[in-house]
Amino acid sequence: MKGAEYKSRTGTTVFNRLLTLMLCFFSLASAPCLADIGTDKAMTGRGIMDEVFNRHELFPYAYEEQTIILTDNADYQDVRKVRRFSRIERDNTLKYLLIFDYPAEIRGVALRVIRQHKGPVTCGIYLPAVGEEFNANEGYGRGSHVLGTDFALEDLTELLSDFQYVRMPDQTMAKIVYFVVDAFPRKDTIKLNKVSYKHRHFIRQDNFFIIRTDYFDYHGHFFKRLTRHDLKNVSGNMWRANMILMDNQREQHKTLIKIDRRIFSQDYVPPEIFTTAWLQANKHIQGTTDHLSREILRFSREYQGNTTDDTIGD
Amino acid sequence: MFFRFFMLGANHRFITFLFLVLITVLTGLGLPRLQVNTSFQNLIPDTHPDKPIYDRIALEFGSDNHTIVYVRDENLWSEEKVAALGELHHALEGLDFVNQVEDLFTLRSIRGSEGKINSRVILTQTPKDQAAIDQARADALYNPLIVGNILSRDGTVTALLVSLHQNDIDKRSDRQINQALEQAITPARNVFQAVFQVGPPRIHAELKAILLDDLKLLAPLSAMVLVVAILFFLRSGLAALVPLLTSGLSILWTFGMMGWTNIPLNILSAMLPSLIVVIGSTEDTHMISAYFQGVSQADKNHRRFATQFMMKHLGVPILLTVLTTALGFASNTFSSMRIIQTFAVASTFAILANGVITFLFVPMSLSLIGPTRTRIFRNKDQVVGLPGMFVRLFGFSKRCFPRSILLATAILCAFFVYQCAKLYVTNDPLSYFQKDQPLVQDTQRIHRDLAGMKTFFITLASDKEKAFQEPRNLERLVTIQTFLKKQEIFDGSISLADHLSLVNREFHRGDPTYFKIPDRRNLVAQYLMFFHRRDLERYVSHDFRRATIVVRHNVSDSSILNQYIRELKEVVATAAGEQMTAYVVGENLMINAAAENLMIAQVKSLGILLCVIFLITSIMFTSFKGGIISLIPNLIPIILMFGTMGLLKIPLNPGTAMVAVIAIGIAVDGTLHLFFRYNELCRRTSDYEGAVYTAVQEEATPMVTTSLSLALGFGILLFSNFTIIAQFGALSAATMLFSLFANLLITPLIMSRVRLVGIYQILTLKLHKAILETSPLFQGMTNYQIRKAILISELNEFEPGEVLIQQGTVGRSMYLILSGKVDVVRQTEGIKKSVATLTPGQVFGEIGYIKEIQRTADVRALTHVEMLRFDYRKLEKDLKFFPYIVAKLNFNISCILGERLADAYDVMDKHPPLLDK
Repeated sequence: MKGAEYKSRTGTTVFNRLLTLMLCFFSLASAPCLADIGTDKAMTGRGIMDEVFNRHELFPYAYEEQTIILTDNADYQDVRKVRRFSRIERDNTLKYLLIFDYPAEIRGVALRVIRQHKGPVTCGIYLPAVGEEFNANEGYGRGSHVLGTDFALEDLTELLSDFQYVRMPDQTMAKIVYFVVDAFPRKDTIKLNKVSYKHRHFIRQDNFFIIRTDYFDYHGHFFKRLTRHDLKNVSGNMWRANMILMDNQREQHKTLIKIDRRIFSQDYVPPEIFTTAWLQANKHIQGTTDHLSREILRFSREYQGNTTDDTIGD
Repeated sequence: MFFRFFMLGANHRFITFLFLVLITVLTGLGLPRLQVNTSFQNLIPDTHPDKPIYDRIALEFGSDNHTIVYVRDENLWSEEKVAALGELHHALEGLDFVNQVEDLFTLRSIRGSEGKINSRVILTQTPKDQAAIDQARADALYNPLIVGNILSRDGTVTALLVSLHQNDIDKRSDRQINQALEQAITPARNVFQAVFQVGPPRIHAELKAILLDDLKLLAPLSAMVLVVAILFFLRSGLAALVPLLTSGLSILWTFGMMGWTNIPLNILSAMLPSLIVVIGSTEDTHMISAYFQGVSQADKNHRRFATQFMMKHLGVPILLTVLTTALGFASNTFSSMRIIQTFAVASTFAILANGVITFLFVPMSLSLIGPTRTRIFRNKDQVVGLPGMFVRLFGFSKRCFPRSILLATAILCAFFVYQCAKLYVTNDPLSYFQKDQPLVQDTQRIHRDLAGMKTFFITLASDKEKAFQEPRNLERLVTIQTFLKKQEIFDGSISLADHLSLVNREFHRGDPTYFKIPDRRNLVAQYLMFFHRRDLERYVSHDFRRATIVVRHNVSDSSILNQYIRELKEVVATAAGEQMTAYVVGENLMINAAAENLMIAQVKSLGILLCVIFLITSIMFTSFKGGIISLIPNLIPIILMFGTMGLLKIPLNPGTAMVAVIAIGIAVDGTLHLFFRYNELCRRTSDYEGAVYTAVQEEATPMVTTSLSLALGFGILLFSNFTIIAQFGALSAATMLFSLFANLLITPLIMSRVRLVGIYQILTLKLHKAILETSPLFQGMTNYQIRKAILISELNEFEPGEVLIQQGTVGRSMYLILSGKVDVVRQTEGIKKSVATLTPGQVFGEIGYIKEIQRTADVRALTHVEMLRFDYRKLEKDLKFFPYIVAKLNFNISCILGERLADAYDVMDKHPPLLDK
């Protein structure tokens, strides 16, 4: 079943409790049931977030081909091509694998993250030039960056249950009305050396899609912002952002992710790829530089012509 | 013409007053526009070849100007202190002008062990417990990029490197930024044993504060010293008030001009008020001293007579000394440093403005309200008090041991010339501060516990993309850093190679033998993924074509630093090879490199100034010999000054570099005053020794007064909070005393051996043109030669009935009548008989001039007579000074004698002797 996609399944306990907030890596879908809920003044922060995830259920198996553009403070750009595999096992274990394909010298570098449900997060990094996988799960903290991007490891592994949600006054920007929900880490998760103390989500009331997330440090200072662009109605009520930008204003650095291809299929995310043996056998290394270069050129053209219709400004 | 110009102030008091008021108002309007600039950019020559390279590198890799927040505590790694450190980080990061804070909360630790690699920031805002903190401490002390850079080796001192947004630096004043930084760190002072911040905002803010303090302190102090000195020497309140007023006006004019022309007040120009008070007062003192001399000689209408006397005697010398002093300051414009250039412009203007004000204001005020009595010239020209003591002391030495004095001076000069070899240059901005300043001590503590605050970059650039992902290119960085370590003068260096070596070591389980560059390119690239771009942007360009080694140091001796940098550059060039371009640049390197230019500029300025003074004095005294001789007394203080610098290890810096040219510009004044007076006196006497003595007597009061006042005034600068100003003051004061010694002891010795004629004397000489041109004595001579010949003669005046020559006496003088009539009376056997009446243009006494025989007749003035006396012995001396003129005179005298002989033969022919009859 090539290219088969999961339909959304509402009300599944597993996914309500095990959704990551880092939506750049995990897809969201939503059903466009707008009027009655979007204007509901009685909804709590938690209620809104539940609704977000009820509408945009997570597929347990996802495969994406992405182009990552890293932009520094002088606007110089570095391009990476990656493949992302994710799956959620029946025991709620979250597995995540990011494989770098371009540039050639980093081809095969892999980041493997596994978060047990209510259990520890383990993170492994595989460098083909070393030929060994190293456990790197400890101590990611403030200023942490996943392999040169502006995403922190915690961004990849946070659960809805890690936070308490407080609804803030709604905001209207560019004639679009947004729920504003502040997410505070629960007391028992603070000790996990969180990068940020508070997130503020801006959720479109018309489709319950999180368009923007602002990150604040422990002193309440804003330091980075995630925005989603190029929204696509994938199927039915499901929406996807095909372009995600993390603007780290403190570091004056940006990470832009363009999803070139997305497939929700168990076939694309077999369980064995999340093993050390599979990585050490270098089975994950594939593709050619020429092919990737062509892809990058194609992407660059698309990127130049792209507008930021869905971006929320301050 | 000259005299009328000099008397403008006295003759046109109201117009002069209006002019002074008008200029004062105009310049005063510029005062609010006056800016203060303490930027170190002023110390870098605009033409420095490394400047554009440095700007480019600083733009790409970040400036080398950071503020370092120093934190020390024995229990730095306790929960409470780490939390406070976090608060401090947060407070600094929260300042809107702060671009980045680099510290234990942002720097990454990478540690590897069996199957594990931990990459994390050293500290988080919420360390879990003491064990986590202890682990962070261990991680930090384990990291060679952090130890000695951000954390001291014993773990008790840490630094927070704060970089600021350039736009905010431009928009806000250093004081505002410094205050905000101080506010941010103030709470931490209650927690840690020591907390302070050092960086450009503090340095500039403190420079500015000290500069303004200096202004407030030094100018009034200089004025006070001046008043006391003048009251002591000249014993007149008005004499003290006049220089104060002229100095005040000059300061106002100068600062106003600086405001209008956007010349900022900087560390050097802050001493302008003191300089103006001190230097400007010298002319006033000379003038007032001359005024008092005039008062002592006047019988009636004291003020008018004394003012005229003052301007007649001092007009030209003061004009000349104002010009030479201004030239001294103007010579500094040859410096390539903008700080010295702008100081040169402002100070030259100040001296010229002071000259104009002095020329107008002093005669104006003295002719109006000048004192009519004086106590300093009790016995006419007899000098009393301290100046008299100096004169007697030096006069005694000069008379008794002239050769010994010259020999001793020569030996002294030789010794000090030898000491000059020990001179060294420094241009370190921090050396401007006194060593006990907290800022300097704080900087030393940072250097002692961590690494020096000064940084420079060694940049290698390649044409090839990702060149610095190639191990062989990274090895070039290692080669350079190894040499840096070998040099043992720089505190430390960090490069991309260090980062990669560290990761390599940790991927090999922390094995120190792997602290080296990975041997494969793909390994390098994969290791680099452990760094965020922000971690590396100071060390490598985005495309990996250029890599930079950041070097920290605390070297302040420019010559030593420049020497090591020269060696380093050679190694860097070799390491870079032909494939790469190499640069060694940094703001402090350029500032230090400018120190060498300082030395060159100093020599150039001094050379040019000496040449100009030589030319001016040569022209003024119509003799190259005169030019050279007038330079000698001024070279002595300069030699002594440089020797003192070498002896006392005082460095040549932007302050002390100016002493020589400024001092020579001032010191030459005394010499010129002496020479002018001596020349005037020589016209009235053939006793040159006596003329020297008299000249010294007359000039001693103003010279001693001004030299001591100048020395005291410059000495006031010792109270400056800036070392370079204090050094400038001390050296200038010493040089003033040296020049007093030279002028009172050496100048008279030299002066008595020369006879000079001033061009102003030649030009201003009133001639009986028709008489002189027809006079046989000046036959065949040009107007200029006639004037010069007249000036080397003596001008005598006689009243009717006065006997000029007495028959039977022996005299070797010949006379030329300029005006009036004389009667030649011959006495034979008791009977006096008038044999001739001589009128202007005629010559008499030529026989006695030629041969030492008895005079054959009396010569008596019939009317008031003005005549020139040509003394044989004097002309004999002058033959070596003015050979052509004297030879021509002797030739004409021989012609006159020939004619007289021919006449005598005619008479004898007409009246043959009785015996023959």
